[in-house]
Amino acid sequence: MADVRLDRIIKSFGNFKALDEVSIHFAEGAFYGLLGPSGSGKTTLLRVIAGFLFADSGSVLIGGESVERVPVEKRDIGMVFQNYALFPNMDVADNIGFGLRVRKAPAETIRRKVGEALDLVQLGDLGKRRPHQLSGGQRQRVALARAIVTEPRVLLLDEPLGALDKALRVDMQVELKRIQREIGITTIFVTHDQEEALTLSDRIGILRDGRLVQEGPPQEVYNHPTSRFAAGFLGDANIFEGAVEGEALRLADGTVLRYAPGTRCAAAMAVRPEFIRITSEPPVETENHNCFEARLTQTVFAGATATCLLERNGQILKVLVSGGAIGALPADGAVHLSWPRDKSIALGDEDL
Amino acid sequence: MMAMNRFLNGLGRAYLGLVLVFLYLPILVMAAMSFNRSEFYQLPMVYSTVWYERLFENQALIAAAWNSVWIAVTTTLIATGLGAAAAIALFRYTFRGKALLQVLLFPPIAIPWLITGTAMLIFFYAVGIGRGSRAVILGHVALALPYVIVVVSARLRTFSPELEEAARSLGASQWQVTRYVTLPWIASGVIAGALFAFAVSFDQFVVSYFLSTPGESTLPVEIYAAIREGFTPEINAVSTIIIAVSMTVMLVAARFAKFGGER
Repeated sequence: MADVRLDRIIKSFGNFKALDEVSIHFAEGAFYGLLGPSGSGKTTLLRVIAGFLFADSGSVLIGGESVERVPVEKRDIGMVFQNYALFPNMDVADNIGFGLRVRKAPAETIRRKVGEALDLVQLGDLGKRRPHQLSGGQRQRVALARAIVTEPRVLLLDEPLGALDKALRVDMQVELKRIQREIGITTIFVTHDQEEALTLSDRIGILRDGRLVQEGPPQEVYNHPTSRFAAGFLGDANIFEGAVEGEALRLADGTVLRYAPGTRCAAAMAVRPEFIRITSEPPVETENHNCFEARLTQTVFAGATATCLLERNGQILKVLVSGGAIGALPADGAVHLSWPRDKSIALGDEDL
Repeated sequence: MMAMNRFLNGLGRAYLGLVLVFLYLPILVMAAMSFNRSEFYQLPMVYSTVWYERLFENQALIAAAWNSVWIAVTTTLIATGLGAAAAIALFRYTFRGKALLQVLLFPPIAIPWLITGTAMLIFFYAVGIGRGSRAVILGHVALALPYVIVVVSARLRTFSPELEEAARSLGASQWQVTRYVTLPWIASGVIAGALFAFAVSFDQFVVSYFLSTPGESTLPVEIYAAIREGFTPEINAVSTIIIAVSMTVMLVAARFAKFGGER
């Protein structure tokens, strides 16, 4: 078990800067999610940690030890690949035991550890199966068992659940979290699925164009995104632009939207769709709320929830309501929107 | 519409039949005549194995046959080893001039053997290797190598580099990755490549003719010499044996190669 520290990692492919001075500390035993759109550098970062790529500059420390020039096979890592990469010519037990076998562990040790790993991922009696005889979820478990059986210092997961269908993905998320807790291994995983990142991670880092945009515990990053990109990439956000006036924002049409007292105000404000209320009458208590009128244009029903699309001065706004609430919305479309001022998020203007 | 389709279908079958007849009828006639007692191909055929018996009394042909076999086996071992290693290297690494190198693998297959043979003869004399079995093996390896590389590379196209990466992440050294992950996957391609290499060497005439010395020539060269002295049905017999061996090898090769189509 070990922590991983990246210090000002730069990696270019020709003229393309895949990683641009990325520094992150992955604490020992933490489950860390790297999130970003494709091309943001998250997979490159994972491959630099694994040792498949060497950084142009900057340092990689695993357990305090510098590994920049250490090849993959000597880094003592476990990795789960996007398509699992199970060896087709070996059965499940041989796949899992591979890491022990190339380390020349005694046969008896291999058998015992493979058995334990199979139990850990709940595949007890499938040791003799071939990879092609397994379902997607089972292959996923084998890949995981294979990666952790050598008790590596760090576990790397590259879009581990990307190839599974939705229902199975949720099951595997729970499972992955359980196994990670049980063995307490430092885990770094890459995903483009924001929900997955929020569910699994103790901390998340958002990457964009090779830079770390923001990092922290999921709730903090979700509730206090510091940039327009972070607000829009992790969850949905309605964004208003205007001029800062005291602890509020004055929009072009004169509407004043307030921040919570003490906020470092910015010229761009984000509000999560789930914090906005839709009412047919103006709300009574207005002191600590922002409110204005809007026109309801469309509702998208999704079972437990529904998304309402509204229009205000040419801007499209999104509001999330419970699925049962859409029947009560006014038919003519004229509504009032309001939210508590402490739900107003000030976005840094780095990428306005 | 149905009738039209059936007609076209029938036409297709007829054409296929014609092609097969064109390809195999001469061979079948020759094989049949090797069992005909008459030296002048008189019909009706009288079954006899007299030409095969004669063949096995012909010391020059037997010696040449053994020569052919051991040269083909040696060629196969060398060409398969080098070719498989080259294919893996081409798969694994990117380097300057790789694309050019891969393109350069094909001309040796297309260049007429007469020219390759002449070039080899001149070159081997220039560097002091001269003629003889060593020269023949060198020449055959050069001819067989592109086939092995192409066949093994075709197999590698279905191989996911992620498997090698997974093995490395689990602590496997370069050699262990090759031994336990890459080679098992391409084994069928390597066997197919080896059979091609064997066939290229065993059936080779032109290059062998240029590079061998009279005492140590291969079977095709010896057959050619025999024909020039006077054609006897013995040649039909030996040709039938060669065709049977070659076709068996090729059929087995085709079964193993599947040309990268199947996982």
